Amino acid sequence: MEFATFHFFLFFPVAVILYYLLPQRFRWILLLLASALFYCAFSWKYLGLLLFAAGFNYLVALNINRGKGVPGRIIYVAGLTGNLFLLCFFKYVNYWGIDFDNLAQILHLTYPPGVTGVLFPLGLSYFVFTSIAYLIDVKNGDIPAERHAGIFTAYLLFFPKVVQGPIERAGNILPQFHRDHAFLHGNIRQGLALMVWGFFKKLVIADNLAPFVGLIFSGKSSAGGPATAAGVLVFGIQLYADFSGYTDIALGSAKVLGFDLVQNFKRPFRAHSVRDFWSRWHISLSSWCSDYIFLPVLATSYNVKRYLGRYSLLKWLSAEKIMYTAGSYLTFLIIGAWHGVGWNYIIVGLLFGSYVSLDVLTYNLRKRLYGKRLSESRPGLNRFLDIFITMVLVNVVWIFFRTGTPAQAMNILHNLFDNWTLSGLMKSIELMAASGLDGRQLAAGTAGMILLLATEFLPENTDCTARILAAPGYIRWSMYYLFIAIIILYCAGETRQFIYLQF
Amino acid sequence: MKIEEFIRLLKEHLEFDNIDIRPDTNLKALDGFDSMSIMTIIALTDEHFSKKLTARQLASITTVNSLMGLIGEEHFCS
Repeated sequence: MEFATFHFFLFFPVAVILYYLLPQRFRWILLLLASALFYCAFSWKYLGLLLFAAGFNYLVALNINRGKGVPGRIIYVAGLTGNLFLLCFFKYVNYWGIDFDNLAQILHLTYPPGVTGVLFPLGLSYFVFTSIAYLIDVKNGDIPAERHAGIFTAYLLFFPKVVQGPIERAGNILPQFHRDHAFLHGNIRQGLALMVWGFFKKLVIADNLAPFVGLIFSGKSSAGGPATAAGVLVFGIQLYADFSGYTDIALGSAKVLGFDLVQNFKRPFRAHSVRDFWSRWHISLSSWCSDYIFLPVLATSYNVKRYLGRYSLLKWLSAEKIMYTAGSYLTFLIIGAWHGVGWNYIIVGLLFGSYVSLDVLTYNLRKRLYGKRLSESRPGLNRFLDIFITMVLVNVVWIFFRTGTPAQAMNILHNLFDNWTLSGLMKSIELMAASGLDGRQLAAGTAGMILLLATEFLPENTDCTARILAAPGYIRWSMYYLFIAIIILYCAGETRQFIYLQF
Repeated sequence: MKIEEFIRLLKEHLEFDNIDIRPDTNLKALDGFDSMSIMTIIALTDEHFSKKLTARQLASITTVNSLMGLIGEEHFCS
């Protein structure tokens, strides 16, 4: 079931009440059943698949370090391969389905009908990455294998995060399943406050801005430069409000149950470089890729340096920068592929990889030009310029992310530079007026967007939720009722699926 | 190498000139410590200590003390 549904508003309070009524030793059963029910509401067919995968990972982890030498390595490799096969089969079989059919015909192979038309199990990308991280951490001895099958399955299927993350590392959350969570008013208040903020971002901001973004990206007629630029910028905000809104609801609902999930966003609109952006955006995915892809590649710098050192002509090359570039491209191509197959996602990966690599490769030159350290945030106008340039670079990538194909993205880019004149502005206004967009809806989304951006630029360590929770009761309750009223009055008439649900 | 000298080297390579760094300073929490900083640490450990750090060790760097521990306490004196 989705968060923003009547079913969830029935399901969640019942789950919480039962959870706290049960003794600690039985709570994992409640969480497992609740998570299974939550997932079943999306697709009961794939619940069996996830349960099977959970059992597979459970057994692999228990046996990874039991078999010494080759047997243990075989089990380990089989575990990683099994997870990757699961992800690749479901994520890419539809895309390559037609080619599979042609190839099968040539090879005179037969398979059951509909195999190449399978749908993608919701949350599988997050599930598989969580499982892979778990197996690697167990193999490396960072965490012990979980011996309780029920708790392990409850961890993988934990309903706040199963369909859209965050990608939770076992070392962070598995110990929490073994702890006794007392009923604490603080957890309930903090959790509910986060959930309200998440629903506000999703229902008032993201869903109200979606029709405008859809109009601009429909490509049916050129909206002119000004409207296209506005549409591209607003999509970035819609995407952030949608995804971080889900994350806040996930973190909040887990907090109500006494669990602390990992932060997935850290004010990405404050990013002063694309490197900094990825330390603030979808943090659970970027840190996963950093730990399991980027750093292993970067660590080969030592060996590459030894190799380059043998050849006098190659000695001037920096092994670290070469491997940084290689690691960046590989990481972002995998991030692109994680989202889906298609040239648009490959271009997303190539663009982000290029941004980050060029940043490092040209660092010394730019430092000579500007005369000061570039990595940290610079004060004043320079800071504004850094943030503006970063957002422009990121929004160019979001164009490819939003559109279905590179051709559609190039069309949007063409529209972006089209007709930046007074007549172009008038054309944009005419298009908006004739489009049938709900003005009230757009106004609500815009107001919410302004509020969201305002909170982004509060001092870095300001925790708005904590500030509200620490306020006197009459202020706190006024804020709660105000936000709930705004959500009820100004939520979009049509609740849209969360954007990241498709991944 | 003296600890003060190592910290000076670290500040110079990571360009944290205006930041007070001590042995218990959490490098990861500093504004500007990112993947490029990790790349710089790789170059520094190789050049000055001939020490190779694994990916897991690089991921585990937190404080200056932790980095010195990964390089090897025998390389440092107070």
